[in-house]
Amino acid sequence: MSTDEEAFRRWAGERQLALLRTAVLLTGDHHRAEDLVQEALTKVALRWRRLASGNPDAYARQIIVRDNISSWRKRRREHVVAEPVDVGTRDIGPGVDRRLLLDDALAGLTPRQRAVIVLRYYDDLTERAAAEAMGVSVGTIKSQTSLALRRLREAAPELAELLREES
Amino acid sequence: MSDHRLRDLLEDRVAEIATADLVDGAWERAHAVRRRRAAVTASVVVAAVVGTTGVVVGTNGGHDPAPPAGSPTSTSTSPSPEVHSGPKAHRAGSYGGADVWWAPAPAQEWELPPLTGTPLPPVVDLSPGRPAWPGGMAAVGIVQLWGDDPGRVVVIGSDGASYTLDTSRLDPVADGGGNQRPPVTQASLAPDGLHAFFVQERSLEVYDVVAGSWASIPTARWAAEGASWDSDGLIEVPVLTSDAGRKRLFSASGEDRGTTLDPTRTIVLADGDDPYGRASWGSGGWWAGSLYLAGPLETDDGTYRSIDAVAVVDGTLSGRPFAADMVLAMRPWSGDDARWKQCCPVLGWADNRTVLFESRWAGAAILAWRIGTPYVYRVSDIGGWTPGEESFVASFAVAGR
Repeated sequence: MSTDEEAFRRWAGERQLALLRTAVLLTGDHHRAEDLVQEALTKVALRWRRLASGNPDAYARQIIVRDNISSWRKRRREHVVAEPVDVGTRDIGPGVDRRLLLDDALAGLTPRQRAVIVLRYYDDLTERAAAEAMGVSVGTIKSQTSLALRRLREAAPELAELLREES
Repeated sequence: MSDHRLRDLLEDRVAEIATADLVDGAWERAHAVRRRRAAVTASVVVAAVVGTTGVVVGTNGGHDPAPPAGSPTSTSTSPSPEVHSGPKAHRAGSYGGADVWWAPAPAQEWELPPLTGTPLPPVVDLSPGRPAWPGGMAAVGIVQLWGDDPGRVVVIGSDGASYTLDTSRLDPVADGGGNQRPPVTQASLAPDGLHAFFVQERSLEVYDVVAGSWASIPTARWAAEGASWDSDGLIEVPVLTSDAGRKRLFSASGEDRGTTLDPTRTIVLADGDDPYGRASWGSGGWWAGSLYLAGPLETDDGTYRSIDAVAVVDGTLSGRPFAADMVLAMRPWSGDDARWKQCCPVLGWADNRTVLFESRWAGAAILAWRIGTPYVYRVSDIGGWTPGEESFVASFAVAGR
């Protein structure tokens, strides 16, 4: 095994679970998430010599985020609906899984909005780092974050308390 | 803190996900790609040696993002801001949640750097006396001059030259309000440039650009003026009685292909905004469209109202409010430097980050804006028409149509 391969395997082995969790949150689909992570790891492997001394985590995250948005765009025309689905309101009683509510609410976001939420609140990236990952401006991150949180609150009023923006 | 609680929710959502070993597969796939690229590179070298038109094979697959800052190398996209010289747009505040740039002044358009690599020629010549359209190739544009009456139709071929099209089979046409209008619309030319439709009061006349033949599609009265091409090469004709945006589908040869629900989209950023033309969906996931910003647009040098603009917004689902992102606004000028009303219809996209639009004033041009940046480019000069006496309606075969 070459030194490059060894180093790549060590890095990828340490990072793949975190990347997979990010991808699951971005897509809501475990199989799709695995595909995205494998594609990202492949692209990192192809550039390993250049990335090893830099920031392979950031590059892998860029690939996952942008590939997900790109594939959604290709599929999008098939899924356009005339009006948004009204999910209504539900009681969040002891028997209701908050995770299901979160899944439903995340599913109502565009991939870009979803990515903003995941990068900022799960991966804990700064606005600038999130902007670099998505290839957009910091201003876009700000506006998309606000919009995405609003949509999450509208889609899942039961979670509104958890989704309030900090003043 | 609320963001901590959201983080807890997200972490809880994926806490039970166990690791899957994706490392072996990734390394093996990368190894296979390297072998394949080596083979392709060898093929390209051979093709170049024998004088065949070559294809540049990018080592990054063409679409991957550049490595993050700090990496030793980076990829570039075209057009490259680094090579931009000349007038630039500059920030002018915000409007409806969007970042607003002032476009370069009309008189500065001549100094804008050229953008090549689009299907559009550097000069679109609308002058009379052009040779007759020969057929046998696709079109990249179709334009109808318009003075007191709809005038000559000019086809811009894939060879970049302009030709006159014989449209004597078409009748004069009026819209539902009784206003005479040209049979060419901004949506006339198919995105592949192989067919073009012409609006008649009760039909669409479809021209096979390559073969030089015509087909006729009967429509409800005045329905044809809202026609457009979809991404599958079918013509969508609005069902005028449908509030939901239902459209009838026809092939270019006139076969009935049923109906679809595809509302025509326009962009509005704030109450009172007045969109015109059709919004264009780009491969970058953005919608671009033209509109009048009702205002007020607050800038460092004053407050503006009723501003012509090109807006680019996130591609949210139909029926939901758009998340406005960026606007290239046309600052009001006076005299010969004033852009015309509805100066700037969006044509489509040069690439996933570069929107194409017309700019009309005493001159006319097709410009390109690298969205969200100060970089504006000149794509085509539109000449051979007489501003003040003539106008024109143009349809171009570019991405995003």
